[in-house]
Amino acid sequence: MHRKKLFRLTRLTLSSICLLLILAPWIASTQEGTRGFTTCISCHPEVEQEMTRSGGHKPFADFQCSGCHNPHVAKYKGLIRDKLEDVCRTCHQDQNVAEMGRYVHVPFKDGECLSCHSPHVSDNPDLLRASGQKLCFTCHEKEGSFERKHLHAPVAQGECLSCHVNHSSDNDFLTRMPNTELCAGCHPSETPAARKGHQGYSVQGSDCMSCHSPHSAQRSGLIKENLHPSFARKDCRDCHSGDLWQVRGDASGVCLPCHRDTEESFMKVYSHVCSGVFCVNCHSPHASDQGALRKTQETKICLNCHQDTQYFVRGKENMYRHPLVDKGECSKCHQPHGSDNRLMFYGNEITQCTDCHGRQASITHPIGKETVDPRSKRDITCITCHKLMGSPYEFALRQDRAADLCRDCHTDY
Amino acid sequence: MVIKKVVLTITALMAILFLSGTGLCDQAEIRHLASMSRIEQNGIFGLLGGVFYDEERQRVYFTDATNGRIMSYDSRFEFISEFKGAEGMIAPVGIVRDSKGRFFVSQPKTGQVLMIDIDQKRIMPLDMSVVPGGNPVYPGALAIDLNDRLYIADRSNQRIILFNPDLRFSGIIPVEGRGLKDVTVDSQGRIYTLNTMDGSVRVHNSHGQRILEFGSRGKGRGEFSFPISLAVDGAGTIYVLDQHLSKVFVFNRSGQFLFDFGQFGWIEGRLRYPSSIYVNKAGKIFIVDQQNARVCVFQ
Repeated sequence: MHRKKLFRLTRLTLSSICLLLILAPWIASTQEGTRGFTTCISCHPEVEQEMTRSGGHKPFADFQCSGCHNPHVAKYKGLIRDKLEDVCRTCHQDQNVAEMGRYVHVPFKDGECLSCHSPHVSDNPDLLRASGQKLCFTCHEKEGSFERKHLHAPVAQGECLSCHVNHSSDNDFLTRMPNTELCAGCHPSETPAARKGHQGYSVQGSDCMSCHSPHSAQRSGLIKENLHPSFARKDCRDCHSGDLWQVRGDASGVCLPCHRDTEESFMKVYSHVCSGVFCVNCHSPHASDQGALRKTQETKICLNCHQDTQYFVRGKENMYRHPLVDKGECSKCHQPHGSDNRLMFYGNEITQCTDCHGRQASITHPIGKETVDPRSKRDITCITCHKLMGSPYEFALRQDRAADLCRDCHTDY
Repeated sequence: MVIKKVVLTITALMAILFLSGTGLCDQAEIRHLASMSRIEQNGIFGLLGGVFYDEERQRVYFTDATNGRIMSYDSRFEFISEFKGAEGMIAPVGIVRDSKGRFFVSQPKTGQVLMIDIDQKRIMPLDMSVVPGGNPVYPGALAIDLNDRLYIADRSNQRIILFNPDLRFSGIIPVEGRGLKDVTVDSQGRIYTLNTMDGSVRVHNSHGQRILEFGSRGKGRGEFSFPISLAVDGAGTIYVLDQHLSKVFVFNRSGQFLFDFGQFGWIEGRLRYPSSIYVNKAGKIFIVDQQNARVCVFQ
């Protein structure tokens, strides 16, 4: 009996030692973490308060401040160990922009994870900074397109993620599915009501967003604000014919008989002319929330093809831009159909600017036909020195005016 | 010490051999020869259109759309003269010259292609009324083959319009894809087309059948940002000019990317929003450097 008790005691002791040996590193690290954490909160008491809340980021909850921060020195704000996006991806390796869909949410693309997520603790799932659409509206303007008379049900319920995804998608506007499939999940297109609402035409496989606003509208049925006159009159046959509702006329011949001046506007040295009914590359033939029945915002239409400009306009370092660029009014300076001037301007590279900037026309570095840029031998214009789409230098200058801007030409200075 | 030098030399030679094998070193062979830019005699250049090298007369021609003129330079790239047509030529863009010495210029403003016979002092638009329907013809780039057959890139209908040497419409070649911008033809009669929007190069045989397709827009090696013009040399090497990158991408006759050259800038040898390219028999590369208002020559 005594031997049996002794054997059990020995077994228990050995088991305890083994357990201790296994747990020792964890205990040590936790103690060390707690000790490190104690050191941190001696100067950062707000962090201690955050610790009392549930829903903490795992390294934070485990007192692993040094998982993300360097306690001594760092190149990044908040003593972050590395670029924020790289710190996050140390653990969240599946969130790699390079492996994402065609369209990437801008803050995600720019590695600004903290735009949406809290690094330490949050009352919302996935450490989101706010719940539901409140978070989205911190960047996406609620005024206007989300506040019209008739609201789309998911918008009214604050469920942006019913239709959109948060990080990336193969579909524009980060929608869950292509526009041609997205709506059918809730709104079957082949019901008698749907047919009746579309003059008997089957809208299966159509892009609903070409006529309906996805968020809100003044019109019932979420029909967009500006209507093509034939569409407003429900005279579909003005432009369509036959049982298959083919487009009338040859290519753009469906548009040009009414828009006679438009043809000439494309017959320029520089032109946005294309094959087929090219008008619908930029304009909606039915309804739009934009002026001139544009398919979407002007900048979005233009930058879709002008990717170099996209880089200048959206580059984080290019903080100085022409105000019209920020307003997204490309067509204030550039002719959208065609132009006989450089860069598709309305006038030449000087009058295009001096029409608004009259004072600069008289008080300026010499510009015009009599001047010669010594580098290229061509005449000097406003955009010889200014890069209006986006520049890291004040006044949207091409280079630093305290250094290379002048010396590029004035080499003897 | 000597051994060290020998080892270094061998290593350097091996590196050169390796790089030339991969094509990475080839761009060092491209050098800037000259630029045809503003001088007192020719005045300020406006919007420049196409460029063409007349092998027979050894002359360079390019159009100045803004000033409605054709510029003429000799083989040393010295200015010879300008031709300002009568009222007919308003804003010429594409340009070629046939073996009879007749110029053909495209003029999108009027939707015409003009035949200009300077000796006969005659300007005549080609008859486009016989070209089958679609959008109104937008004649852009032009090309001409050894038999004086004229190829017109009709941008508004995504097709090549063909005219015989007797100036009669002889057919169309539909071009797949989006954004037809340029056409050229090689000595074998193969027709090369470039689409800007989808970044595709298509090669057709002389009957118009597609025999090769390559190229795309993107950020990878050999991918275009905004391809705007193309040219082909005597060896079948294909040169694609990228406006947004200020670069020329060079491909072998099978469409395999070899190397690229060109750099953004103002000074001689740099490019700023170039718009057209032409390669002559001697391998000289002519590039219309639009924003620098000049035509650059590389070898």
